Amino acid sequence: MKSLNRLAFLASLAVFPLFSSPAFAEGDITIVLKDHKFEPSTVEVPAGERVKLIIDNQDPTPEEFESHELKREKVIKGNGQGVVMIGPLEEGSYAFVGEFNEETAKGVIVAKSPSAEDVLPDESDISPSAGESQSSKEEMPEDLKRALGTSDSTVPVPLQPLPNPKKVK
Amino acid sequence: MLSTAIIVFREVFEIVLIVGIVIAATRSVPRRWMAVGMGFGLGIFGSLLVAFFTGEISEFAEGFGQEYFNAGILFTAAAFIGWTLIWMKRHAREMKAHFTRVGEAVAEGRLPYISISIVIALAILREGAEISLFLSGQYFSHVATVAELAAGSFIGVAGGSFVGALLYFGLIRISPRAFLQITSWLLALVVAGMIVQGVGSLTAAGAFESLSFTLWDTSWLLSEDNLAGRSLKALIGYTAQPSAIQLIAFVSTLVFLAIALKIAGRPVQKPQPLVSAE
Repeated sequence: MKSLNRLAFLASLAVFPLFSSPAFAEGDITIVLKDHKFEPSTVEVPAGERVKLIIDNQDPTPEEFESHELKREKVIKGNGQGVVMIGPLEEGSYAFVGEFNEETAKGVIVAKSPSAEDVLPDESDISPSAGESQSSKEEMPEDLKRALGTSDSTVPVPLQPLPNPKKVK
Repeated sequence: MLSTAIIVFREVFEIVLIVGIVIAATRSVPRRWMAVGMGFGLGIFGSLLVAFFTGEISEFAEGFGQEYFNAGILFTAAAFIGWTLIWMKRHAREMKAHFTRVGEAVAEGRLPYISISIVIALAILREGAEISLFLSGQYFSHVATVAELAAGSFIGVAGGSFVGALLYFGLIRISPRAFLQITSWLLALVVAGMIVQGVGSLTAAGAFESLSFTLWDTSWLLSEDNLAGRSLKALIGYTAQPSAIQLIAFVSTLVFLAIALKIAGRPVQKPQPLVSAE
């Protein structure tokens, strides 16, 4: 399913090239590093969006913000700031550390999908073009995913009126 | 002291993997140790320079200067290794045939010396800058005394060098027949790995957005945090969660090198000089 999700994401970009430009709707998130500790150490970000993190190193010493899970690595000088762009992320948590002080400098990014509850499964019985009517960017891949993921079963869906009369008797 | 030793070792380890292979692979280039020494000197000097200007580098390109800088270093190193690889392939026959005249071949090309120096310098610079930043941070925050830092660094460097020496001597013991083949492939993988990491840096700066989605996750199998994962990362650009563009970059680099090496390996009919010497 994951790979389909990506396929759908790619497809959505192909269909709606306008949406592929970066959108910083949620604004920047600042993480302060002081006494070799991140504050906040748990950072919630919206899933499926690009988010700009500003790492504000208030220690006099340099630090390397590192996260294998986010695939980011950035050296930030003492009393300096660094910009780290992340996302679009799938839902989940992503650990990060300050590599020079790994014992204390650690934190986690939690990506949550804001539209998770809004998605109704019944909307999927229409072709992918139905996605066009929806302006929300996050829902697009979901729709396409369902359309693609159930592409075998979606064919019978419009045909359901056929079996129905049998049931009616 | 121990944490210093571990961090220094980690970075030195990544350096020696690349440097060890490059020195071993170019062993048929005469007097290459001169170039190697030059590379070390340049690399160490460059590390200090980069560490000193970290803040300035970062501020370029709307805060993404570091990413572009890293990508630039990686791509440059990859280009020079690839170039050396092709050069060696083209001159392999001459090197074997008249070993004494290789000096002339090198002089004619001039390339390997410069290339060896640059590749080693860049490999050192990348990780060396991190070492100097880390050490200076430890020193200025009074976390560790100079003696502790020196001892830790020494252990780290010694450990890393030991690994590098093992790698080097392991490689040069390969039978001459298989040597070129094996080192060529190793270097080709190193090149591809560097391109992958460079592409990763560019992705971090916002490039390739539509191709930056993650393809798979093998962190359960091999984490990038442990030594094996780090080695593979430094060597072939192993990424537990590669993006689409990284896979594309990896495969196309290897294909490109394979074709280039094939062409370079073809026997060349050298035109006879019109006027013979003397």
